Amino acid sequence: MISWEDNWVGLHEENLVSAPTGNSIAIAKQIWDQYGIKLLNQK
Amino acid sequence: MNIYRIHLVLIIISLLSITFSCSYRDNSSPQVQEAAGVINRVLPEYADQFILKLIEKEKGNDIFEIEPQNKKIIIRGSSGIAICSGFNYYLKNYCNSVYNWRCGSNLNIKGSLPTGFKKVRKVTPYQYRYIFNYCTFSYSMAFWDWSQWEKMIDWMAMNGINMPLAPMGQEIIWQRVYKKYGISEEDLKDFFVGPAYNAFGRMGCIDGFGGPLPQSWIENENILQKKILSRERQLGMTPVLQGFTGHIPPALAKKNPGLKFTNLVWLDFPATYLLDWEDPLFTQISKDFITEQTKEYGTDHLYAIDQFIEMEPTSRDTVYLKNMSREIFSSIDQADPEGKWVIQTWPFKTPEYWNKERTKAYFGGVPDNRMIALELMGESWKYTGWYKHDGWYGKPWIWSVISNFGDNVSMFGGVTQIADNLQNALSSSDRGDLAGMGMMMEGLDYNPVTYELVSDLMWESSVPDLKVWKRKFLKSRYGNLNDTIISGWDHLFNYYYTQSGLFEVNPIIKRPFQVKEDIWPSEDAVSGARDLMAASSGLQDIDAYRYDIVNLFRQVFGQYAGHLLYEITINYQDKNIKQFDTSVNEFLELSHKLEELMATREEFLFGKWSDDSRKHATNPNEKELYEWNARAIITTWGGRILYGYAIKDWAGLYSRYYLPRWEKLFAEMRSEITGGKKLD
Repeated sequence: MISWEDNWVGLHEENLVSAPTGNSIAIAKQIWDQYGIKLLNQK
Repeated sequence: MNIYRIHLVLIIISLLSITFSCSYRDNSSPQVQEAAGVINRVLPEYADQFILKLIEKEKGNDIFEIEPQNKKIIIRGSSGIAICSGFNYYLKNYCNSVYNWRCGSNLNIKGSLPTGFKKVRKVTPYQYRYIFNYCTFSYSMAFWDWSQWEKMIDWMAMNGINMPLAPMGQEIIWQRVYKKYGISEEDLKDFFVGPAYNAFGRMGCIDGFGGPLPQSWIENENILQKKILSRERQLGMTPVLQGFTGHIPPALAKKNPGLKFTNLVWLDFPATYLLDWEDPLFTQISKDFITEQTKEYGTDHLYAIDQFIEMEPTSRDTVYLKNMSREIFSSIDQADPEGKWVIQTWPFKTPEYWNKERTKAYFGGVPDNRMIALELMGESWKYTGWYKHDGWYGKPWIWSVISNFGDNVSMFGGVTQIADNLQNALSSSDRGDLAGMGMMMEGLDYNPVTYELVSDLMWESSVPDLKVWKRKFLKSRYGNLNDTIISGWDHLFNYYYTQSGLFEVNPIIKRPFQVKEDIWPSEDAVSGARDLMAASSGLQDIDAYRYDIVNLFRQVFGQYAGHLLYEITINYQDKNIKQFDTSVNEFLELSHKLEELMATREEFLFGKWSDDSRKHATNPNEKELYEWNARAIITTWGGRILYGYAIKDWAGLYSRYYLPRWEKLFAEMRSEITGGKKLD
């Protein structure tokens, strides 16, 4: 694991996503519908 | 064509309005002009509705007044900072708005500016309003350019800051100073650290790590530092520059046999070199550095010197300690007869070495009016020092919060502790010369509530009712409140903001392990998420709300991922391959969804941090070096003790770093279940 991590630190990646994409509220709603209601019911 | 003419007329009117509204005493006051610049950048569509005027301080302290007049807003202030603070007060209290460029703003003002209020007058009781920790320059700001700094300084001015730490650009000064001592730029390559590690080099903890620092970086930071200092000073701030701690390059020790120095060891890093104050070179280098720095950057007579951050002096003798601080002070005094030593009190939290006798001796070597002490962690009574050290032995001191370590991405903050502990200090007759308030966060943090509270307190002589303050905070963040929002935030305040320090790390970003504890998000957190989500129809256009939703859902459902990891462990132990695969898939699906959510905000993007680092490069080698710095400090850090200290809950790291590691573990678990090698 340590060597994998050290190797990752030394990688070079040019095309990372560096600007925001997507609709925060729409995705949050999806998460809520899929998991949140379940969590509420298990309280 | 007509459109262009209209624009031109509007620009001229706007410029005239700013020029003529600057001040009835001095239209050319740079501080008023700079304050107008802040308002123009933050609220351009309303900038011409503000009339700005400079007034006298009250008993040496900053003051602002706000008053509506003929549908315009007059803001009078005793400095650019005071005017900007008045502007901020008006936004928060009368426009139900807030400017926060890092954690979501709410500047959705509709129609004309509110004028239905009476004149407000606020005087700060604090001479000093401090910001930054050396670490902030590594964990949050290492790769910033001017566009980011400009927004930060605007925010600082609006939040009353007049004493920012400003250690950048010092390497070019060291190069010039050490040249006189026969130390070349080449000799300094194992001394200066990489850009992400600047804080720890400047504090004398490490040498050379993450370097060598390219000359282009040193020269570009010199230019950036001049811009920063210029803007800060034009607004009325007095930046704290670097002083000489004794931390010297190894080459100086090697080239000067007989030089008196000690080696200091920080954690598991190789030793650094601390020049002994008794060596004649100490005073000479200190004088040369301050003189050279003043030539390059000017001075406001404030010098940060911290010799023993998480390290101890070699002698335990009080006479030695007093002579040491006297000599350090003398070296400042010889270079700048108005110079003051600004010192962090962080080392003195360790009573094993820094007992009262030794700390008093160390402080005793400096005249009271020539040292300012920074109380670092006011929100923690345990780590607060003023009541253990006689209110810092007669020195003026600044009550600060640190709140965030390593720029950890998590919801937490000691709102209650900040209020209680500050009130304790204010009402104590043993508080000594409490002269300021500050924010000394290691990272700029993801919890705006903490810093809004501290900056509001900078203009109050006592701590307000927190219940009332929280409502005002929410109103400024969302514009309008209803029962659902209040209920949601009551849950969040109860759970996240009643204890100081990080207490809930997202299991996804931890190093993979067999999760044997069933982790669930708290009931308060889930209820808060439910209520805030339910309020989305009226709030979804507000940037601050969108930030809060992403931050909260990242937190709550990251904890739920802990439960899924627990299920994976149970299914692995039961050797139930079907259920094991199901729970692994569920964990990965949730993780990817959270990554998608975080990717909607710049604040949570690894790609932004990485790209920002590469933008500074002037050649491919520098690109590689800066990217290594950017990746290492937020993951492995360096050494083994600090692994994960500044780990980030960011989009881009899940799919590239955290999940591949989990998948390696899952593959080994699965292999064992299906008859393969036993998991190591």
